[in-house]
Amino acid sequence: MVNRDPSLAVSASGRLGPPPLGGTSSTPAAHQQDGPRRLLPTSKLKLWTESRSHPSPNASSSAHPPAKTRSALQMSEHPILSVDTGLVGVCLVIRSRDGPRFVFHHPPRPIIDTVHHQHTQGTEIDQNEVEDGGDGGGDDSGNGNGERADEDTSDSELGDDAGYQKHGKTVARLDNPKASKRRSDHVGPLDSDDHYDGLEGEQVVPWETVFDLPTKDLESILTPQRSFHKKRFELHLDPLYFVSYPVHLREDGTWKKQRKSKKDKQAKNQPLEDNRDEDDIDPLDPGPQQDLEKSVLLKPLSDDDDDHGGMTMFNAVFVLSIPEDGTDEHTFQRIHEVYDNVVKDFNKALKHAQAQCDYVWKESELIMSMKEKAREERRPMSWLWNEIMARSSLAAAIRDVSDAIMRSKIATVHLATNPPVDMSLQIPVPFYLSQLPSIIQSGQRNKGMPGLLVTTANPLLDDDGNIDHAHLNKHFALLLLDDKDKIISELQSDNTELSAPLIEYIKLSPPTQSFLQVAQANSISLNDVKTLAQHLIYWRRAIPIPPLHARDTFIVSPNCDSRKLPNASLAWNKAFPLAPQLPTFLATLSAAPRHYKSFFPSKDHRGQYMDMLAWLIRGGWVTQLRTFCWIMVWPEIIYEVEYERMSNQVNASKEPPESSNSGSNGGNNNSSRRPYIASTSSSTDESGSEKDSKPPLASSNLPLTSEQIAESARLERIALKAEAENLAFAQAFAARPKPEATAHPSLNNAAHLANIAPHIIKDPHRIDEKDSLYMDAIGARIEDEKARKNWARFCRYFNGEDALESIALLEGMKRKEAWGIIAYYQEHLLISRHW
Amino acid sequence: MAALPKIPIELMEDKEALKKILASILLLVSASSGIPAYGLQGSFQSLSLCIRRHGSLAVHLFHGGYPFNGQSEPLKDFQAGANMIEAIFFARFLPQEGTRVVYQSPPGSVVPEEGVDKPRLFDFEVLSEYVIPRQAFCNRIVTIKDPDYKYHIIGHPVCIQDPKYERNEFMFNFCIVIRVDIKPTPYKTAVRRLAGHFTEMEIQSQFLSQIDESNTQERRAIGPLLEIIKEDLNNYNECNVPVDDANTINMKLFTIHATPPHIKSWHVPIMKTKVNDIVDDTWDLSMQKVIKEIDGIKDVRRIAHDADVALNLTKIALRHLAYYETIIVLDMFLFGNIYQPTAEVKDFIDDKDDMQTECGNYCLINGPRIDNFYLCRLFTSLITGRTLKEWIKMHLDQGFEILKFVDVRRFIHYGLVKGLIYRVHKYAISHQHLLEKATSSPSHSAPATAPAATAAAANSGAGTLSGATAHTPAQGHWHATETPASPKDHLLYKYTDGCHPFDQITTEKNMGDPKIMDSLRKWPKGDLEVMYR
Repeated sequence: MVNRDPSLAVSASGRLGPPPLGGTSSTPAAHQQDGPRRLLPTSKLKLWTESRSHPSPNASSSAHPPAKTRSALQMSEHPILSVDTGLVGVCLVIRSRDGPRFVFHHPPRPIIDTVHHQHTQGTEIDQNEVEDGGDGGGDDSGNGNGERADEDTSDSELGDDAGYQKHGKTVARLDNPKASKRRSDHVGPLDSDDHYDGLEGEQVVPWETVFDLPTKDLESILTPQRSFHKKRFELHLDPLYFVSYPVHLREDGTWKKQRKSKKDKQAKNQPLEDNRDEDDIDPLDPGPQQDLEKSVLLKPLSDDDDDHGGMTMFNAVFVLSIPEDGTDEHTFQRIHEVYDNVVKDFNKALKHAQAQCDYVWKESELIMSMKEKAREERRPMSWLWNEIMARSSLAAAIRDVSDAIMRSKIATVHLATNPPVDMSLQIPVPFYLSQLPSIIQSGQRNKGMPGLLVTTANPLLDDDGNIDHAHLNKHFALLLLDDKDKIISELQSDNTELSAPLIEYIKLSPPTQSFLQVAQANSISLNDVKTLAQHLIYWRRAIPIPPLHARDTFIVSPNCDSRKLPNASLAWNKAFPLAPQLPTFLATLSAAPRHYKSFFPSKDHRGQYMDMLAWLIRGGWVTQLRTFCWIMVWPEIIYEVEYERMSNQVNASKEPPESSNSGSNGGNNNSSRRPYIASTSSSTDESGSEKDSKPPLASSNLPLTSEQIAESARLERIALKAEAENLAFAQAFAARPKPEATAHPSLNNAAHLANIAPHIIKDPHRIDEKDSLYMDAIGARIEDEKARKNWARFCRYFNGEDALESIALLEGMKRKEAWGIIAYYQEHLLISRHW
Repeated sequence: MAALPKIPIELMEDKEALKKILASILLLVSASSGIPAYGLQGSFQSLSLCIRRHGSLAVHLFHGGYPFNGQSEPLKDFQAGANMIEAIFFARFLPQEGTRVVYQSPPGSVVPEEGVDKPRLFDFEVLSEYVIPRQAFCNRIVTIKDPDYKYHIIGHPVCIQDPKYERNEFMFNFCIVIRVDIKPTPYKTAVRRLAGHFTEMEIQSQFLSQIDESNTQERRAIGPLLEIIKEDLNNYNECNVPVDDANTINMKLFTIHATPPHIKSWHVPIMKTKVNDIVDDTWDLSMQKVIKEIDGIKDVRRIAHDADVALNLTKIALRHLAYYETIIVLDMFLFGNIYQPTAEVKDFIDDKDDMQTECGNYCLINGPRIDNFYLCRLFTSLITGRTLKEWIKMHLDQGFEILKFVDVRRFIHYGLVKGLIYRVHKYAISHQHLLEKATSSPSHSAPATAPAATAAAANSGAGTLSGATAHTPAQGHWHATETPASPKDHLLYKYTDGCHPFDQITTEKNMGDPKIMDSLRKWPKGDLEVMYR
């Protein structure tokens, strides 16, 4: 755990989120033109970056796949489980010359999960809740999550994870308002799809109430003042959280700073820019507004004669409903995630579009006029919403974001500006767990998500063991999360610029080969391989894993989701009709850890069995049992090193007899301080002691003071004492049995070793002198010449953190060769096997 | 037990010195409360000391630290004496003037005040809309964070409608300002309570609305009142302020704990605190009975049986204890169990927090204390596919007699508590059962029948318990259908979907592992698999 990123290590379902793959951080991969072969054009991956490069028209229209096809890229069913984002809806509010206006919201009938909002004070526990598996969250997952059918599951990890299972709940709201009405708690005329007349004859419009709150009131509270411009706006109206990133019209009457001012600004503000929001990377909008706001207004806000129709601010607000049974941390985390990954980027994109062609205002005007018309015609809400979304790309974009994020999917947003803005937004989901949720870490919301792969192999660690979020480790392989042909056909239908290289890469890249190997074998540039892999990982089509190998060991994952077993079993039969049944195979794997190869009925089955393995890992059913080790120093070695040290000490004290009368204490001290160093070092001791003895010699010409006499007497006494000690030490040493190197130090039961406990070298990177002597002594013992030569090189992996399985890859050796060498070390290694 | 003021160590600067202090306090607490030392030390970074205001010391170990995106700091708990409340103020809506802050403490913190030159915490004008919002948003908690994202303004605007007021309504709000990195929930509760109190007093005696006109002697003015509330909450986490003859404001900040895990009948609770010492007669009767039976060995079913408390009540009681983190739950210890190390075992080898010594002392039995090396070896030699029995045998073959030196149960418990190892459970899977599940409509029928089945299981479990071990009705039934025509009639059929560990069968059917295996042997050939995970 030492040098791992805390966010990865701290807890079970930590956000081991995918790196900001090709995100706003520059992707050097895409720019470097060197390397053997290029699969990639110089396009970037995260589509938001593309939208930002629009001002240069040559790069704009071709660089990205169109949004509608990209939605096909979304995975429907795969084991990367989504987290419950807590999002219940998105609304757009603007302030125009008519004051604040509530423009649009989606879904039309947001459902607040009221089950979770019963305040459980203290430990007042509903008895039903305690019954096995009868978790409150189960109620709402019926339509989306067939797997939860087994409500009586008694696995504590499985039963209590309602928070992560809710993502299916909001699917069919628009098409099926009746269903949502049935589910929601507040059944009443307000929920109806149609207009009706209130008690005093006023018209009650169905869309003028959202979350039980009148939009008339919401529009004012959700249009905060200018102080919130491009700041985090976080309002809690119990039980809802409103999170947004409001954007105001700049005080010079534009939505974006002109490019001209950018250049001289940039020069001046270079050092400052690090502190700023990342949106300043946006080349169109480099300047923070604060600078200008503080200065005198350039020109007063023009009231109504602007071409943006008097709109002075807009605000796309994301509404979250977070179960109250969570802790504050949970709430905080949810808001944070949505804000950082979605809210900010979405509002920025709108700002970009607004600055470009007055997009937000025009769309808002359109939506509001449609609403007004429908109000007069008393159209039902469902009709109106369908109309709006068909005609307004902004409304459709809000729908897309809202629907996708609610289900923890990747949202692809298309704003029909010219050129269009395309981007993707997602809350990253972890693709593996590095720690198992324990029953002790009770009640934490961040519990393991059953079905997620557990492993401590971190694809983001670079070769030096540091976390690098932007790059994948080249020794990892790509595991597709779906059928290869299926992904390829989807990519083909997408037919974008990236499709061809992606398809080619997928064809070339088996999960048994690392990125580096794939690159070398096909002479493609490694950067291209990694970039393509990152693309697939970003789009949740693949995960990085250590390359699969038949000689590795795989066990049934402790985190596998057995509730999925019935369906998975059927799918397995379909995929591998001739293989053993899934439960049988899992049972066989789990009985005792063995090389995967040993399960092959014959050599010919290798291919199929490797496919089966990929299938199992993809589904989180099995995980690799990896081997970790530390160097173990047996008593025999300890004794030998100790004996050597003492013998050096004895020799050192014997050798310089002449120095004993002139301040031998210096030499003595030195030798005891550095006892391990052989006779070569004793000569330096000599010189040291000579230096020491000079001052007394020089002073001997002077008459001796009483102090000097006392001093010399003292020195003499010390010397005598030291001599006596040395003698005794030498005698004791002579009495000791001589070390004897046996073939198996671990089995040496000699009496003089009985009191010495074996020693473990914790980390070969940080060793003291003794440890290095031990390591040398062990190295000298290794019989095989090749293994002996490699000892020092291999030692650095024996730290309990690097899996032995990865040594061959890291050292660029043949696997067999590496294991052959390790076999010679076996006696001196403390081995632990875990994932 | 609930509101335990804490001194989070992350606030203190000198970590080393603090560790020493904590270590000494821990010893003291350990001695006085009987918490096993390992329960106390643990991860120092997340250990916070709770000192009960009225009573003895209690130590609170929480596995905090949500990974906050790697950039934001974890939220802090409230604590006494750290001035968590930055400001408290009372605002009301005046028909002529609009929203006005009537009183604030400290002075000048929210709106400018004469004679105060300090900078204000935030710009009230920007946020006034959220302090007294429109009527639709009143009578609920409304919080807003200032644009600089430094302060969290927690309020509960109240709107009282009555013809006696101008414009027929009276709106006010008592707000507490805390920093954004402090957990807000305890303060939300306090604000809600303040709103409730003053609403009641306003309705009773127009306490707030007539504040300007007559400040009579019998009742305290609002200003000093808020001052006291703020000071007391800051310093003692609670307050008790008499307002007038009829009203007293009592408030206390409560730590909100995470929802505890569901307690299963095969769990084994282990005490972290000496609850026995603080139990008194006012406690729930079942709770009292259950607490007496917790010894770190008995499983929940056994505790229920021995305490003569219904199983589900026992579970509730234990969950209650788990909520306050006074117990931890592990699973049954048997020598046939299998354990598997996790990556955390590295921490043990590295001897983080002196774990090796701690563990050595914890699992020491009469006899010589073995070297820490052997503990490392014992942990690393655990592996899936190797039962404890086999593990002991293996070490015996290598000349190391574990049982002579180590209390294996305590050793394993230590590993489990520290997360160095995890239990590998055993599951039975029947192909036929899976097939049936896959083909039956997954969404509707199963949930309806499943709870009933569970309830039945719980009942029969209880039945076996009370009926002692001999010949229970359930077993009688089983004997009658010794050779079932289809596995569906098998006694253990419902456990064979791969979701029920053997531990559950053991507790619910009162069958040991060999007996279960024996019974499963009668299963149609080739249909049943046993999986370990």
